[in-house]
Amino acid sequence: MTSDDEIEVRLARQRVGAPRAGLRGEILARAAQARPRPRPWFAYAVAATIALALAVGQIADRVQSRRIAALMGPAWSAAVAARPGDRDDIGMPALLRRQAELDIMLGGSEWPNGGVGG
Amino acid sequence: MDLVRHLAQSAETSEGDWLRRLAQGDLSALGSLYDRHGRVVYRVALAIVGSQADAEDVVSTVFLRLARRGRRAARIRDVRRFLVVAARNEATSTLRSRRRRREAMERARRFEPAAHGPEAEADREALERAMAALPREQREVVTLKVYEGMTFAEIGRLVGASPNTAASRYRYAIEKLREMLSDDQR
Repeated sequence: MTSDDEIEVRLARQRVGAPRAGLRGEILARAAQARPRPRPWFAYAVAATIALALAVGQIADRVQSRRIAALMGPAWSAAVAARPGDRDDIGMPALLRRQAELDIMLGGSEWPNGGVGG
Repeated sequence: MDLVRHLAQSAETSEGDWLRRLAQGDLSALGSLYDRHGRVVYRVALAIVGSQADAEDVVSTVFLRLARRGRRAARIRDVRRFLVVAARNEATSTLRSRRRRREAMERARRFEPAAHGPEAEADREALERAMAALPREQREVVTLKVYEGMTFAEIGRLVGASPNTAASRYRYAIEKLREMLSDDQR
């Protein structure tokens, strides 16, 4: 027997331990607690739809407000900016804005710069 | 030879089934995988961390990680390799954090106490010390070769080295053990 073999034999004579008996059960119990839960796809879909609708609404609102501001001209915007109170994102009082929107829908205007379709 | 191939194939098939079942949330499949691979995962971890308690923690972490993969578990091709690689990584990080915390190393006990007499016990202790002095990679190869009966090709695949590298690590390890043990006897 060579010395390498002797070392191998001495090593092989040793018993290497195994994990303790209860470990399997513990792992399975912990795995049962930590089991990945099915993802609530439906809730995600509803939340995403709502978020998208809000974003689209906000974008449309901005476009509309800018359109009105462009139609009214810089004097209108400056006058609006000087007024305190309920304002939208371009500084237009909400009540006036609604009035302007209505006016655009009706196709005519009494506004200072001639309005839409006038 | 055909029988060996057949047995190897059927083992792979059942592992594939277990992984698919595990992916569907069947934890009894995790138990089957533990029964087949728990010991090798433990031994690889023990070869690195040198403490039974830490090695068991590594085993828990590795199998829980497998369970938490959920549906992705079905995509694992070689589960033994997955587990051994995970065990090596986890054991290495355990070792690193233990060093960082400067925790006292529990006295390494890789081998079970010898049942027959003080001479066998002295031999066990000498081997224990010699094994502890080996570099981690060599200790790992010795464990997989001697106690798991793996070929160098299998070991190389598991530890991410070529069969030749695995073989030379083993050769160097045996050589070093021989030197250390002969020094011990003087």
